[in-house]
Amino acid sequence: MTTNAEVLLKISSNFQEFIGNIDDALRLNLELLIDSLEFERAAVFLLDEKEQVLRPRQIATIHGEIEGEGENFVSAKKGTSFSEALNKGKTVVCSRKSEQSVYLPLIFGGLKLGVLRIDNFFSRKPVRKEQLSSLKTFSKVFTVGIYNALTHQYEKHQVDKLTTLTRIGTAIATTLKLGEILELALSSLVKDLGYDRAQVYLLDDTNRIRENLSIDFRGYFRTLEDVSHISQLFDSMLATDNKPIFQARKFSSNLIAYIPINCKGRKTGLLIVDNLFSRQTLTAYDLSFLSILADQLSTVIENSRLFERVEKLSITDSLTGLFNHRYFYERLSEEISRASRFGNNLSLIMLDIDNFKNFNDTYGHQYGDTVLNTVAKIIQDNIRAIDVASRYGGEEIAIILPGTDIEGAKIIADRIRIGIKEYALRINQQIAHITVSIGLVCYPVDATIKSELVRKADQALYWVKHHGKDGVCAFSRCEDYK
Amino acid sequence: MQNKIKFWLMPNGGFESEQTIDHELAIFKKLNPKIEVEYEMLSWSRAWFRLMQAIKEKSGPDIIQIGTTWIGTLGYLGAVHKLDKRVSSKSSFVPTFLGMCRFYNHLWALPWFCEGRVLFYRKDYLQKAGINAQDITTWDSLKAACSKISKKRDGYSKISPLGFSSQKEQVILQDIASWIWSHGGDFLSKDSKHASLTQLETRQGMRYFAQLISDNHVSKESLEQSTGEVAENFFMHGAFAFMFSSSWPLQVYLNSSSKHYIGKQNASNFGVIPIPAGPAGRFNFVGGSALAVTSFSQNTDCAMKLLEFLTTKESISRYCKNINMLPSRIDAPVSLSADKPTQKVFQDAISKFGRSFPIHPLWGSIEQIILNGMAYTLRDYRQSNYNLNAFSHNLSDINQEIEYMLSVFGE
Repeated sequence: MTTNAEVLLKISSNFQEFIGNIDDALRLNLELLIDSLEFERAAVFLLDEKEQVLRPRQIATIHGEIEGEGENFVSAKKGTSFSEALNKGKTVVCSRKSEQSVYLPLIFGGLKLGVLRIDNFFSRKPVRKEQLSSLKTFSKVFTVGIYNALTHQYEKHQVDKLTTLTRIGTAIATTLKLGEILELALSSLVKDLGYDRAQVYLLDDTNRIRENLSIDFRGYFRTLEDVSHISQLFDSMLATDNKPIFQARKFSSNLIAYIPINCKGRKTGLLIVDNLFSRQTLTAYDLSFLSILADQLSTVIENSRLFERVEKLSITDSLTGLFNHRYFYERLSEEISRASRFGNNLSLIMLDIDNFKNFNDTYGHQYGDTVLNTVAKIIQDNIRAIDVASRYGGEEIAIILPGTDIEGAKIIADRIRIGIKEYALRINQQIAHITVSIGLVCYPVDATIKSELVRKADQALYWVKHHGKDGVCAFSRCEDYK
Repeated sequence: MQNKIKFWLMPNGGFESEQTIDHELAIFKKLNPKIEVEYEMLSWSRAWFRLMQAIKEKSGPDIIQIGTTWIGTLGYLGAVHKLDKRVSSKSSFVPTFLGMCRFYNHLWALPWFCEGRVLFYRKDYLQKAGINAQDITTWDSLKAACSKISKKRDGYSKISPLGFSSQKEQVILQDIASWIWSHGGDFLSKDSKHASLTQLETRQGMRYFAQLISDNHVSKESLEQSTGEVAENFFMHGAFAFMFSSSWPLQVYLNSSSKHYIGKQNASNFGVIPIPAGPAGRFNFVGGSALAVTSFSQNTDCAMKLLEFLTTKESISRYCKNINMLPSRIDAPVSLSADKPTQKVFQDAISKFGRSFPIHPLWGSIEQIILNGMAYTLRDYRQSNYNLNAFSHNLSDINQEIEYMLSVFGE
């Protein structure tokens, strides 16, 4: 026969052996408890402090099965044997026709963990005195075991998250491309840390949402076109004191966390993490962990934006905002390679402002700059996002049109020419009209190397110049056009 | 082993859960000797957590028992296989139930067994109060019956007309739904994009329920208890005249082979009637369990074979008889351990008046907000602090929080 001391030892060693798996430890020990003390059913209910309820964690019966629905939790507030045991810290014995149970508090150093309930559920036999005294001793071992297991679980959770945080920090620091940074950070949140979904929204200088990206645990990335509903959330979030919060509402469980991304005291964006599918509540620890990540992100985002600005400055013409001559040649090489790889067309527009020197001489260089800016803006308004418009030199502008044949290029060129011609430029209370001459060339029909393309586009442009200006001409049909 | 599959299910047959499923799997084994099925029984309270963990890790069961309210999430996540091709348009599944297994125009699970809510009553209490149970057809007639019992209360010492738990258990929402639906309201808008708890009809249904408490027709003690405790007090201690429930008490309290059987004489003292009707008709919550094959299963063919076997007429008939539940197929006989009229009430609850919660990927989280909100609201009622304005105000807050969650969901 097993003595109480042996059972105590076994319970204690089970808790140690299964410290990483509280459910297995509890199941084994509850079975041990009912076997050794001759009870019929034993259960551990753990306190959900936020909800103030006790939830059944493990139940063992002499039939060795999980009892019934297992859904039942009990209020920890008042009026039940559970709450009396938990709140008064005393053993409660219920002896009545319908119930023969003992409720033992599981309290460690003042910290309420839960309640151990043990009863003769099937026979309703009264609890014997010797059973009761042994139970009180056993419940103390349960308390220590559960406390250790929960602490271990919490610490392991923390270590895991900090390790991941370090990894995310290292990974996002390896790139300066904003898209890659966001993808890396969000993927880690769902894949490594197990959150259901993660979203990030970044603001521009006017506090409007500039970029957004979201991911769910399946790894599907998504960018929202319409962010109006999120804008409202943003407004209310940013109106607060800008601290990380849960969905701050009366009835919602902590399933959504909002983490502001601040950079040098400025509100830069918002990180939203949720467990809306799994319904695992987020904790204060999640908030502090995510805040550290948001801090890391803000630094990397800031660096990335700085890099973006520098990169843009190095490839942009400061007067017109169009790309510069060096960037034009880089992109032309890339686009020719791409067109060659995929068997696509590519057209090049060369545009020159007519009589620009006369204009400068008449109105001054200040107005010459205005003309250049106006032409650049009209060009930008009439081309696609994939087209590349560059200031080639002086008053000459080159436009690369990927995937466009000569007919398509002609349509775009005409649209630009007419747009410029019809624009009424107001100078010293006078209206001036500008015209442009445009030459076109198409890859691979007219040429296959970049220097040839540029030379032939120039030839076409000068053909127009010599035939009355204000026109468009393709290199292959210079003689036909005017 | 190549043909080994894992099956996760819940303890459907009470203390005989293992025997009942063992029986079916033994027959399956005879028909499919090369397929080995390993099953694990999960408690309902842990099942969702375990399943989500398995889905995230893409490792776990091949075939699973799921609650019908899970379909929206599992379908949205593509966590289970589509089963459209496995069911013909002339299938024998109960149409209402089959409809609950559909989401985004696809079928994600096959119905296994179902249950609907009904109203249990104590025959002796109603007789003493001069009430004919069959006359209780509307909410108003239930209220009138409750009033009669309240007036006769002195004669029955501590008896209350109605026992009702107001704790945060999913099942209370199933009963509140009856009031809402029968007044023409619902939890979400038809397109499921908005909450509709502030809609006039929904508010009216909720108010009706609140008034039952404020009019003292609901036992104050029962409001503090879990649904299990309320049932125990109703069947074992005769604490109330009425109680809403599904069919499980037939197995636990009214079945002579159960460990909790209350005895022949006591058992004959209970009857059932359909959930009363409201101005918009008669509706009761219908739910149950379905079977699905996980999309990460490495052995889909074997899992599909088990799924098909467990949903045959023969298997469903046997299993439902053993666990005392209603079959999900029209061609399977109903064999609840109850007399014919009682069985008919349960059958009608499924096929005539049955309705389910909105099928939505976030239903579980939405449900949690409503439950938290209702528990909060009813806390005042439990303390006899009846304030209909505060009640309406809380409904608006619940509504707003669901809206908020839907906007973060962004779909």
